[in-house]
Amino acid sequence: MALTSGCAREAKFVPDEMAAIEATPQQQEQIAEVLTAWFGTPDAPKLPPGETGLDMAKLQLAAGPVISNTPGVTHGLYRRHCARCHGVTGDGAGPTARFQAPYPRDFRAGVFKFKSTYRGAPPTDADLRHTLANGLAGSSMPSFALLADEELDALVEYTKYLAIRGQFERRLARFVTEEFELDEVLSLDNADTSVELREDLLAPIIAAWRSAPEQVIPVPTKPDLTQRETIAAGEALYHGPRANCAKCHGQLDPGAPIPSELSPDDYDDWNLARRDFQNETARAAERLRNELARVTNRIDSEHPLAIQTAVVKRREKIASQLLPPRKNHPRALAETALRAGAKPEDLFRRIHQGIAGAAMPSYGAPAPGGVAVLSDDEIWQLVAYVRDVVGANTQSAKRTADVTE
Amino acid sequence: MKYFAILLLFTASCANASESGWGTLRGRFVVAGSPPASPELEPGTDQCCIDAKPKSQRVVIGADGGLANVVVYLHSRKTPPIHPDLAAAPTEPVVVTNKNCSFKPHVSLLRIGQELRLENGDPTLHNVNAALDGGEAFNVVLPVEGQQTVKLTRPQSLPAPIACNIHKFMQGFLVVRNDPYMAVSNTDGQFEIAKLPAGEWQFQLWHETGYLKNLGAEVGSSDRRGRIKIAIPANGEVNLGKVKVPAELLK
Repeated sequence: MALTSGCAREAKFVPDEMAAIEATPQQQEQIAEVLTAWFGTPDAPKLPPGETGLDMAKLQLAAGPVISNTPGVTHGLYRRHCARCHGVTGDGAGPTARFQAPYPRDFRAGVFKFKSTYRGAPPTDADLRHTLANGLAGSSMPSFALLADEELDALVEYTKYLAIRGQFERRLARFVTEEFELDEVLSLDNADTSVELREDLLAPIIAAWRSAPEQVIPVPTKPDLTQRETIAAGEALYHGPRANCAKCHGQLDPGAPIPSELSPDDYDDWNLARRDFQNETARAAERLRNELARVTNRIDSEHPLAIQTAVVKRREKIASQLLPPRKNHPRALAETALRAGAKPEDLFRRIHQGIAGAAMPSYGAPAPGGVAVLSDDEIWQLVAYVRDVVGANTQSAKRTADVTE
Repeated sequence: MKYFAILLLFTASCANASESGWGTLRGRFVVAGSPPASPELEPGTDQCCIDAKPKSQRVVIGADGGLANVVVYLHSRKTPPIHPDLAAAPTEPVVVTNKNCSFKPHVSLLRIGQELRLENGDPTLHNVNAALDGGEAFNVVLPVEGQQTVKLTRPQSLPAPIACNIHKFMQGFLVVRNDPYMAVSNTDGQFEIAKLPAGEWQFQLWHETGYLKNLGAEVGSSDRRGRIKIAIPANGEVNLGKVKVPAELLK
């Protein structure tokens, strides 16, 4: 039996149930069918229509079960190295995710915190590669620097594939929920729908990924960051009213409130979505109970309350399986290892654009031509001060500095 | 030249014939039943926020039971015919001001092509974190007297929340559409959308507590996603009258 059926179960992508909760059960199945038609399965990925820029050979090296038939060549790299935390679907909910703080990244929003591009743009290949090679200090993300170059390339490509697939799934779920009639069928056999999906939903996602290299924040020439005057100017900005970093990151004096006390209720976008879903589920359940209590006659399956009961039951099941929402506090900076390192260029961009998906806002122009709250020189001054505070020049920080620096 | 003029005349009259005029939709939302209380909010440590005594603006009800901040917009997958007077998006920006530690207005309406201007009228630092869909999300810092301009390129199928991470109790919404046919009810609960294309259209009824679903109006009722079909008459108006919103929906 085991010989004929193989030892591994066929891997499946998990649907984004939270995104599609208001779609009808039929529409949810139709969404899954479109995704399979365009993106394939974890064992057999497909490229969606259009010029995706994704390399199928790389995807095939990363996809599927772990197999090695030729010495030195391993297939199924994603499942070997990533899926336990990030999940087969890239939903950040692999079997070990629950035990990690912060949780592994859910790729399906297409949002990555540590990157070189404008806040709204996806990361470049080099950005993803940098995170893979260096890991993220203070999180469970390790360094994969020991993998071969072509293996890292394959994982970067597969991460992009999962992100694009997830982004498309969410937009499709939103599109079907908000734009379709309740009884409307989603099918790629409908030529108009197919064009709409390709041009309005998929194409902008792919275009954004393909143009990411043009969205890199230019970093001007770096001044001497160890100069006392530069550090002092950064300190003044940190505590002053304009940058006012202290408002969230704290005064940094011994005894002063720490970030988790200053912002006790901060969530990043991923945790906020789960918290809102759970709150909304509790509200819907409460409202339903009150409405049912007032009903005296029998209700049939087409009755609004019967439909609402089914939705609430689905919601409660999903909500109970979600990773519990966790707070994300601003970084306590003193003598700490910053997640993505303290390399001056990276810190410059992190202050310039903030951290996508998190509470940290942009201090530079949010888009080319926009208003910059801080000038480039001022951002450098802050970089100098932050590097001084985290102890980037001391021995302990050298251990956590970028291995590629 | 002469032929060209005739041709032009002919096409113009054709267009009028197919659109067959424009009409207005108006109405008033009122709360039925006892509405939830608007709790006072924890203002944090900034003096200007403490002085502002912020109250939840989730459910704002006027003296006569009118429900404010109900969003009504034309719900159509294809861009509807646009009245010639409204052909171009307004050149003036949509301004959202951080004032007294709240977003003014609470719900802003923006048509693609219009600029979004964010301003800070408070003596403290704010940020504006906008959870827009489709890669349009932004999070910008607004220092004292600061302002920022954001250009949006994609319509949003639902009103999107805007928040300030520094002052957690601040909450607002941004409606971003491709056409001008949207409105938000005032403190009396009244709204009006003028110069709508005549014909039967679907409208979305939304409030920050959720879809305004299964509401009965004189012309029909909204479905479980808060959508209602309304026939807009040429050169006339539809008045929904008092649309009762059960208080239960707002809890």
